[in-house]
Amino acid sequence: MTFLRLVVRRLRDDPWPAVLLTAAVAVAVALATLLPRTAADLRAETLRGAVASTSAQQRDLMAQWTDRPRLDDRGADPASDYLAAADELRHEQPRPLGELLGAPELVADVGGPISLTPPVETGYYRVGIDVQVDARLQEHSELVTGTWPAPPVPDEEPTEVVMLADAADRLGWAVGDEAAPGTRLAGTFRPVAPDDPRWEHVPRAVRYAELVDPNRGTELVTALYVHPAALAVGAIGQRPQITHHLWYGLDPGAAATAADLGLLSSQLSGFLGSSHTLAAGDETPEVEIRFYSELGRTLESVATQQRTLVALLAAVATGPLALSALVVGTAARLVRERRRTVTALTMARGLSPRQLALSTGAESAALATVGALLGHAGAALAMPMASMSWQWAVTAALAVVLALGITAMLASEGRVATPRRLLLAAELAVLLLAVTATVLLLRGTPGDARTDLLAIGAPVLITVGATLVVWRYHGAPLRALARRLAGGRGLPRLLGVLRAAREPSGGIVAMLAVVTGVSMAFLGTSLSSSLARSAEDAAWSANGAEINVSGPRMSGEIVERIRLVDGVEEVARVARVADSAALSTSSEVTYVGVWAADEELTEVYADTPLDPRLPLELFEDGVPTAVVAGGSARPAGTAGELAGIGPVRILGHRESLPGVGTQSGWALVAADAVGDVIDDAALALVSVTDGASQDDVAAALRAQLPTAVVTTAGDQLDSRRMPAAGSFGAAVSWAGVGAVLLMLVAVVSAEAAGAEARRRALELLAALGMPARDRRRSIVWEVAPLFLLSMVVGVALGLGTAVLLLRALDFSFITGAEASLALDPGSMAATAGLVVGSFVLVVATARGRSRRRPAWEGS
Amino acid sequence: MNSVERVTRDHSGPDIRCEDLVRIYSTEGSEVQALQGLNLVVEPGEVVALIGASGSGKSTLLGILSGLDRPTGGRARVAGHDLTAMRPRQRIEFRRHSVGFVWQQTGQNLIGYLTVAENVALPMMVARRRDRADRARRLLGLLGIDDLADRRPGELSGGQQQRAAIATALANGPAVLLADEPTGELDDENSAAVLDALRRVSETSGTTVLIVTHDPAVSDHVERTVQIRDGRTSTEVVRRFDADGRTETVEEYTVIDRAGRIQLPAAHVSALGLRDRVRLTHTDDHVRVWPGHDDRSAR
Repeated sequence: MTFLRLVVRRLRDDPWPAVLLTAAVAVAVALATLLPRTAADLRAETLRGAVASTSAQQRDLMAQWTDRPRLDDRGADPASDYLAAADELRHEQPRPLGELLGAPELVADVGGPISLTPPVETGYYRVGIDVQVDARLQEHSELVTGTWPAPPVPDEEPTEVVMLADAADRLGWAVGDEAAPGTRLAGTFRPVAPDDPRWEHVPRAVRYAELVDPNRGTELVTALYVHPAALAVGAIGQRPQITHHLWYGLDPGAAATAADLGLLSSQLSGFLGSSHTLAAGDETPEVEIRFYSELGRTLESVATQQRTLVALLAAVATGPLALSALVVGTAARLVRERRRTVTALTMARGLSPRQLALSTGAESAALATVGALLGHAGAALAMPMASMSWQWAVTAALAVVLALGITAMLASEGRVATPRRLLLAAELAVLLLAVTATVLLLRGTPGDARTDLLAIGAPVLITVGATLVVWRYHGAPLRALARRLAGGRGLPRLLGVLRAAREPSGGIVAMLAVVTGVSMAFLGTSLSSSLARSAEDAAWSANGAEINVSGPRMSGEIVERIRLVDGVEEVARVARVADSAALSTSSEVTYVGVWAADEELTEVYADTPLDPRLPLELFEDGVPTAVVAGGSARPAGTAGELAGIGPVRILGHRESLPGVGTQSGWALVAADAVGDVIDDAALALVSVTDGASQDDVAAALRAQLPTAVVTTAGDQLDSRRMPAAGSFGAAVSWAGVGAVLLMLVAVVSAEAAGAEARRRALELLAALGMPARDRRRSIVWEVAPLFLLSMVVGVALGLGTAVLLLRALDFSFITGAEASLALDPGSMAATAGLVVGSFVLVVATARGRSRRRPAWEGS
Repeated sequence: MNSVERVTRDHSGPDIRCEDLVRIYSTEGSEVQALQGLNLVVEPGEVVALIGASGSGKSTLLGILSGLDRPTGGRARVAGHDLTAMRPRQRIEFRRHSVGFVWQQTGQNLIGYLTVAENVALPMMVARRRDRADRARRLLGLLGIDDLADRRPGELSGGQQQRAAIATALANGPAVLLADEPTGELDDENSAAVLDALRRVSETSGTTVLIVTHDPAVSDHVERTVQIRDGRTSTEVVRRFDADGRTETVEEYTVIDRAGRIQLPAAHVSALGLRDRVRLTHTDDHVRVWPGHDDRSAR
């Protein structure tokens, strides 16, 4: 018989407490491991999305320089030399910048622009030609006809060139033809991957352009590509000024792996801020270049977004994390209660507290290690992620902390008496911190690092503070309820409420669990729905109607064509009448942008969720002209004069005119009040008939008006959608569901730990003759009041925290506009259902556990 | 094979000595005096039953003697240890080596998932004793349950469980064995077997046994029975057995404390209508107690 054998025998005899404890540790570690993984995933997705949303011209690191070719550079290959030197420079850069930079590319303008007059049958009045070198053209293209050009020979003509096959076809040029004076078309090519971002730097190698001149016709613009040796000797017999364009392509996918954005930003700033020497070789002169890119600004904005997202994620995740810690605590308490008799007996037989601590410590360490390994492995399986090896250190630290906590719990008597004054001081300190954090958070600047940090801490402090307040004062309403019940005949109710008021079996742990779980569930739900609603509102506000058509002049004929499209219900034009006109009232003058609209606008708006409810009188004839003011223009009084219109009746004020690009102050009048100006409108808002598909109608309108920009509210929403929105929404939703599930486990465990005392009390009641049904009813009345009280506090806290976060943090990168609280009845009902279901389950479990009848009562 | 070595004592004098022991419990504004100056002396190797009604203070006394509780006043020494001046470490050593316990509830004495032999070995393991298995077998043999060594407590009868509990309590060879209602959950036959086992253990190993009970029948099995009433020892019954274990003589005594106070048996008080005060007369070899009738008119 050894201590090890004793522990093993205990585990074999009663494995469930150990299993529960291990599972609790596994959940806690899994959550703690998942949080940084989710944060890293969100960061990467945000960065990837932001980088992908920029063009190659915006994000790539580019440099330009000019020089002239030298005739004695025969046989030199400056392009290869420059690319080799640039590649060396790339490899000299530290991580993560060095990994982010793609292979260098080089394009140079070596001649042109050349203008040719093509044959009439081509349909073009002119051909504009640039002569260029693309150092890697052959890698990225394939020949359609002919061969790649031979290196040019100084002072010898013609110079061989290749060009885009489509352009050659369009012009009717064939291999062997003179493409431009002094050149011979050696071949034609087409890009292997036309969508490759590199072509943004070499646009004429992927498509030709057609420039329309209303008076002269259409010009075709294309480029001829000569051999890279032209950089040394020139082309077409010329030695022009050669403009070199060197760049490092950035892969948005690779950008996502740059874990440390701050480091990347500083490396980028350093790289862009200094000059670099391309020491190309003996035959190619050195050049001093400086790179430029808009990536730095993108990274700055991404850093803010990442910080806000991670802060929000952390704020939402603290609930499940705290709950998982509570579950570990309640599981340990449950184990201690189950072993209390054996522990007491062993100690009476001489086991010292040190021996108890050693044996429970060894057992706790084993359980915590197994649980931590399981949790870590589970999190790694759920969200595999490379370069997170440091997390093993976090897991090990967590395992140690949890093992120590479990040991302390198992080895304690469970009756730690904290001095009342100390307890009160601690409670006051928590409340003070919660209030301070809230005030600082509200006063903070959105997007600021400190504000983000406060956004994590404040909700936790508020939750803990509120729980302490409820715990301290929960007795008062329960005692009042008990007094009310005391006079009646409901003894089970009275006994249940009295026990809840004086000796609740779950204790403060159950209350904290319910408050935290419910508040986190409602925080997640309300945040998700608020952000979704705000994004939708912003999309509708931008689009203004089910379909927004802009671009062409909206003459009566165009409007008629729009109306004739199948599915179109109403069309309303909005025209800008004046950029700035004086709107005078008896007491003030305000300058406003003046807009005119067809009266169908009210009906178009009526089909949107953001109907500004324009007054119908706006479109009635009469003098003075009716006008609605908006934005920052808030004229006092109802009568005034609008420059260019005359006397006006001001019908009211609206914050915005959806779909119309109004700025600061504006005034809207009926189209009839401004004559034919409405025919010059560049904007038409369109509503669709019931049952018609917005996308189908929009597609038909695009076909009907090819030069118009046609968008639906859905298009607007898609264009505004943050790349990480899906992952973030999923994380918030899972955090809410996880919080409720963990709450359930914590409450059931806490109730189970106090079940023995309740069972004894119920046995006594049974002995006194109380029927089983009444005994079970008393349990409901014991559990229900505290659960309901905690639930109410939890709901209030969840919604309050959502409002706080929405006010304190800048969510515009998610929503496209300022976000405000918006509750979705469906998801709120689902969350409430989940919480109520949990309550029913807790009561059912408590009833089931105490259903065991005293032996003498029979079955 | 079944012999166990006799207890060695490194102290002289009685194994249990209580002098004017007082224990007061304070609860929310009121005080309960559970022991009111109790005196008790138990010599090494004695088997003594402490009998008293519910609330008489016997469980309080047992709590103090076992080192689980502390007296409010007075002195208590068990197996040479002064219980009023022990530090936590000494209390642990005291519980390991000097006293053993047997509680009333059979399930409270043994760990359900260990076999009987493992239960007996547990205190020795706690005390880091080496010859655990061998001593456990010998102790079980002494109590006549060595054939049950590999069974779990749940597979034993109540009497067998209590005998296993006695073996467990004796594991580290304590000088004193304290038993709290050891027969409380047993029928007469099993009770007699357990009490005989306790007496046999005392005879074989020299262990002092103090049995606390409310059952007067226990006194038939022990040499000395001390009655405890209102937090004090009141009377003692000394029983002598013949060689076959049958009762030979029974003598009843009243305990007199160090201040000369005695507590008259309730039956005597009631039969003679003794109240308020009595008259004492001293003769050559004894003291007579008379009802204070003469004083009734004076009141």
